[in-house]
Amino acid sequence: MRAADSWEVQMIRVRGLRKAYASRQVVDGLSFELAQGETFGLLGPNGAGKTTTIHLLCGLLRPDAGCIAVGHEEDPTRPAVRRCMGLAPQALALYEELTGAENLAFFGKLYGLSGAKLRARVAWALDFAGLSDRADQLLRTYSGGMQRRLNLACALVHEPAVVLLDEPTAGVDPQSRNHIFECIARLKQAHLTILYTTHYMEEAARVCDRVAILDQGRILALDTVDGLIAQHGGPTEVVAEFACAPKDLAKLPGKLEGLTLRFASTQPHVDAARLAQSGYALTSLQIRRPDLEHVFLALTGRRLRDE
Amino acid sequence: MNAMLTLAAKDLRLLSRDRMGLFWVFVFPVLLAVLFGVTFHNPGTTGAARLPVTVADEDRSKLSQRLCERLQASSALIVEANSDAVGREAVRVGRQVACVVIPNGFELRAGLWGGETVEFELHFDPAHHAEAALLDGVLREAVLALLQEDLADAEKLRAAVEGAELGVRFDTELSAVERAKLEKFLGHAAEYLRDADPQVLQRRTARAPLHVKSMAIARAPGLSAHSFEITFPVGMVWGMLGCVATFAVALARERTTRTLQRLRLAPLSATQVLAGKGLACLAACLATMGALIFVGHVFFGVRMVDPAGLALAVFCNAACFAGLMSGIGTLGRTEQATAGAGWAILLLLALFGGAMMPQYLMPGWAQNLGQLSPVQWGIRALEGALWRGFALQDLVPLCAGLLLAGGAGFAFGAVRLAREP
Repeated sequence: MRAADSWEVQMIRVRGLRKAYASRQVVDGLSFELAQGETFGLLGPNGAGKTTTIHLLCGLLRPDAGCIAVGHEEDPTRPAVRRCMGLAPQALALYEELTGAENLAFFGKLYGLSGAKLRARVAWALDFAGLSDRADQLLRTYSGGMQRRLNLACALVHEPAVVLLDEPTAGVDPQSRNHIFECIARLKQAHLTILYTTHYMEEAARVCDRVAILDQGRILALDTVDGLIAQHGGPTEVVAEFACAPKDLAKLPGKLEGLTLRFASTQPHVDAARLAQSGYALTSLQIRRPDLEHVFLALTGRRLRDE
Repeated sequence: MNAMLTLAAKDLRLLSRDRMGLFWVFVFPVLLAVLFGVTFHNPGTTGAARLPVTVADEDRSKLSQRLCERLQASSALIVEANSDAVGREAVRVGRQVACVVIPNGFELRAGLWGGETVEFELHFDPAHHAEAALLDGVLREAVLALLQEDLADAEKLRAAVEGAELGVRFDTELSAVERAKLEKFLGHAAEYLRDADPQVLQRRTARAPLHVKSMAIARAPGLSAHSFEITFPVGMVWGMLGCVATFAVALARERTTRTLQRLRLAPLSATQVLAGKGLACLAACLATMGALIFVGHVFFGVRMVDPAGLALAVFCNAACFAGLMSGIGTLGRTEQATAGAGWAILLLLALFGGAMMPQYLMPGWAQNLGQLSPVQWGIRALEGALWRGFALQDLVPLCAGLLLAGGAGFAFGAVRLAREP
């Protein structure tokens, strides 16, 4: 497990964080760090403790044990900490009877923005969310994806240094999801520190510099996506489908199941090329690399998608 | 402070876009005040409405006929002449307040020198005890007035004396001595009546033994209220109750739509968040009362005897109800729970505080409980400044009570919100 020590400055430090609801331990001894400018993912199924962790980090919940430090502050409820944080909650948290611009201006004012600075930030946030042309329309006229983008923009209007994104793509169409990914890419370019929770492994792999696999309130593994796959994902597989049953089975690597041949390979391209040139009639030939799904399966014995 | 103003401005903007909310906060209280004012309006007097009663005349004599005519002429009654059975049925179904039965033999027994107590039956609606007592008084007054009329009429008096002489003569229960004394007395009376000047006799007997002069109590002459001056303060309180319910539900909505979570994430304390909400409620309460005072003053002649006192009463009322809203808004987790709990509390305060029915109609314990209702303090403070002509020392205790109640409500809400996960 690689910590963020190599990064320039640690922005968030979490040690031994615990939180229980009644007898259920929701967060069970989490420890991790986020470096400045890093995008850190919490990947886990529903109920793994992702949202609770975010609420603990931003001070909406008090931990039963453990400590959280944001910058040099150890109390996330302090106004100085809150000013440097922005949260885009999983559920939309906006006023339907206000326009997009009014929503942004309202939240901006709460963080102390005013005058020209406020107007500039509202304009930036609207442009960021791709909503400049809908700025003066009531939120209830927006599509689900547009509302989701505004939800993200409201977390950014006050220029926070740390952004907490709690499943920001939940329930949005593919087009809006891509727009949100583009937004996050812009935030990464701007060197914002991002904590990103998701139960979509593709998103974690696409967005995050490092990922913590979370299950039942515990971090099972934490590393870069490549590091996690290398450690827990297992080997790359070559999978071939034969048109008819091959005759010389002894020459084939791996086991044949029906007409499907599957074998692990450390040189998948070489092995796949060799199989293609061997003269067998193949209907398909694939190289299957392990992903975070395999990592989760290896760590928990369950599939992430089954949750 | 800026953040609280921002919160308040946002809430007022949201209210301005909620037509139904605007109706309940601004229009409904005006309608309520006008409707009640018109209902109880009685030009020239502040008297109560007339009671609908049935009079069943079973005697069908001249005297009973005169009694019926006198009751029909009463300004307190709307009389319907009918049978005993029909009258009682009308009371049972709630159409009439009471049924008065004039018994058979009324004239014989109740006339001058009749010498017997006549028993009238008064069947009344159990929901109208107070009205039954009023009717009892009206009946006694009417019978006494008839007797007074007979005493003032020399002819009737002579006939009555002659009848009495006959009665004495044939009364076997009288002793000879008593009979002699009575015959002597009645003989002198008959002799006097034969020679008496009818006008002198009428002047001496037509004078009523008692006259009650009713005067409305007010600090200064001419300050007694007309109906709209009584209903508009009540309307103002209902307007504020509407504001309380609207903003309390809005606070609960912040919770269910998760915007409260976002507010709690901002660099604001729970107290500041609640204060912003309370500020919006205070502004809405002030606007509601301002609108009612304007409408009442311009269109319905509601006076403002003490403008400075009125400003104080209005502000303290608004602060009280904004504070109560802060407490009520944190009672429920959902809009439905908050609305339910809120209206339950507000209706109890309004009921015991006299905003739903006059307090004198309530039992003693309820009237005592009403003394603790901020609704009653609010109405009294507003009436005091509008037309009762309260001095500052009269207003201060009421205003202090209102501010204390509001402060307690706000403190309760702030503690609950701060403890909320």
